[in-house]
Amino acid sequence: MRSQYIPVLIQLALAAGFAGSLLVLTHLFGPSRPAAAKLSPFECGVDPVDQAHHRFSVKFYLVAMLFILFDIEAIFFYPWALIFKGAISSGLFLLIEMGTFALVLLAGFFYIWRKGVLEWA
Amino acid sequence: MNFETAVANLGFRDLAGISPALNLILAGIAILALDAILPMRSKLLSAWIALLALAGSLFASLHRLAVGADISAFNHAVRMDPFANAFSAIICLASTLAVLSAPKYLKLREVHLAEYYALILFSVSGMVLFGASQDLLMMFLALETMSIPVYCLVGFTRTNVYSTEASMKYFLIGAFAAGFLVYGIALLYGAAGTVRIEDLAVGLDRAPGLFYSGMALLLVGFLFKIGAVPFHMWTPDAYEGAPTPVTTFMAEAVKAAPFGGMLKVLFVGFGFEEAMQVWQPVLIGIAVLTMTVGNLIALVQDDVKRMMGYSSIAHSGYILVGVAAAAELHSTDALAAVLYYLFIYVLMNAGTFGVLILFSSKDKDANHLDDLVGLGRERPWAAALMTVFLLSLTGIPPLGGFFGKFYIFSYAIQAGMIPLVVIAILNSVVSAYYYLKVIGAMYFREPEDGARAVFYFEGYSVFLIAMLWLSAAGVVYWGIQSETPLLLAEQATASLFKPAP
Repeated sequence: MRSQYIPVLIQLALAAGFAGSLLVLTHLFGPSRPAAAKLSPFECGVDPVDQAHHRFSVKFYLVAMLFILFDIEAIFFYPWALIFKGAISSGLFLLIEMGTFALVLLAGFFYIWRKGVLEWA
Repeated sequence: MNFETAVANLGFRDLAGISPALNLILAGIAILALDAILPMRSKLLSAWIALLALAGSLFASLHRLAVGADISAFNHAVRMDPFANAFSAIICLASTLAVLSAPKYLKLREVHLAEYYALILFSVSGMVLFGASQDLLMMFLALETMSIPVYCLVGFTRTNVYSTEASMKYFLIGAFAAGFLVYGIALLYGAAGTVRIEDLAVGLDRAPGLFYSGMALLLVGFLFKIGAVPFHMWTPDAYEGAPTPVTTFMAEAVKAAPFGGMLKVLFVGFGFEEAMQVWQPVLIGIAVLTMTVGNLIALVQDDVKRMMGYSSIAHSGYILVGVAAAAELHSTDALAAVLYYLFIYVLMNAGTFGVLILFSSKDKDANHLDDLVGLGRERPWAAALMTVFLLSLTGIPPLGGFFGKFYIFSYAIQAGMIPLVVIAILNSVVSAYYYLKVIGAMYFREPEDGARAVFYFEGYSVFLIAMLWLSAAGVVYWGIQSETPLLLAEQATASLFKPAP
């Protein structure tokens, strides 16, 4: 019973080890040429400690949001294809369902495209 | 049932089963597409599409309710039984009224966008599925579908700081409440090994500790959503900050919908004796707190929108009295009284906000009590309509609000909860003070500088007038003719305990 959780533990240890070793390795081997922009958290050009009422360009956030939306929806295709592999061939319904999903996705894409969200300037 | 047969079971009849919700989603997407193609002309057209879609879902639900259709879809994850159809009908009616109130107001504020209607439709589709869920996961998804568009709608006048503040606050509290709900679902799944609502009872024998903590967390999540004390803090702020048509939507549809899921979970999932003995006294305590706190704080409000926020908290308390009574009596007829109350509450609330919208101008909402001084003399019809809605909210016969309270309280008396009913009636008396304060301002107060008060129908539109008269006619007619909706509601709640087809 308990032994089936050991792979989870191993994965946890691997993940922690990988992240930890990256930190140590960059510290040891990486060249260190600090600059103000580089030292700021997230290195994204936005000061994280600032007044809340501050003007900033919303473009970054729009792109990030759209990316997350479409990314997650694209990832949704994989489990569908894997899990329903056997069932998809048995009937058209699952295929049509996914087609509808893709259509809704396309409708959203069409909407943001026509609204000019993708124009950077 | 194994996985393959479950998948093979899916088909177009599942989609047909949830057609009232599907119809709204399709209309919402159509509005977005239309706005992308014809940005100049999409606004009023979108309002019409939204109204048509809502009317379609309303009549489909009413028809299904009348013929007693009971449809299980998606391997029993969703069940469109009379109970779900009744909630769907109430919610579609509420949203129709909210959509009717919107176009002119949004135009005055220069935010008349097609997205408004699309967001409302997406939210309503979630609400329709919320009362129909037979599965806690489905219920959670429906809840999020319902809530996320509302967060955006609250901040719809995005240059207004109060609106964005309200949106932020509502979003944070809403996310917090959703957290409680998910955690509760996880614990219940741990206890019962299933997320099917009707099978939750097995969890009590297997792991009582997990079961009760899951039940408590789930209850907290629901109480947040209906704005019961002590989880009510967000209500007045969100109501006050949101644009008034959105407040209308929140105070009726977003208020009524969580009750659908809550009643289903309480009476189907936790409807057996041992669990009921735990949650029923808790609900009684919360009902008393909710009524008292809501009414007492409403007494000192000068802003009518904020006052209505506290009043909506108090009304949640009255409804909880009905829920507690139904649990005590084990009677679905008592639950029907709750449904009837929600139906009337939707009508009278819509009307009250509608009158406020009627006198809202480009720069200013007519929300303050002082803004209504002299309305009775200058605009007698509008004042008369407002009076009808406020008297109904107070609970004066022969208006709908009276009968709503009457049925709930008489079932509570049948259940032997005399002290609770005394507290509820005392609360109604207290509430008369602040509702009558508005009527007093309209009829009996003079403007302080002695000049004549001036009222322009800046928010006037045919939609809004239709909405006001429909709500007023409903409050009067369905108050006197309370038998018909009550009978429908009794059919609806009776299906709650029947096994799914």
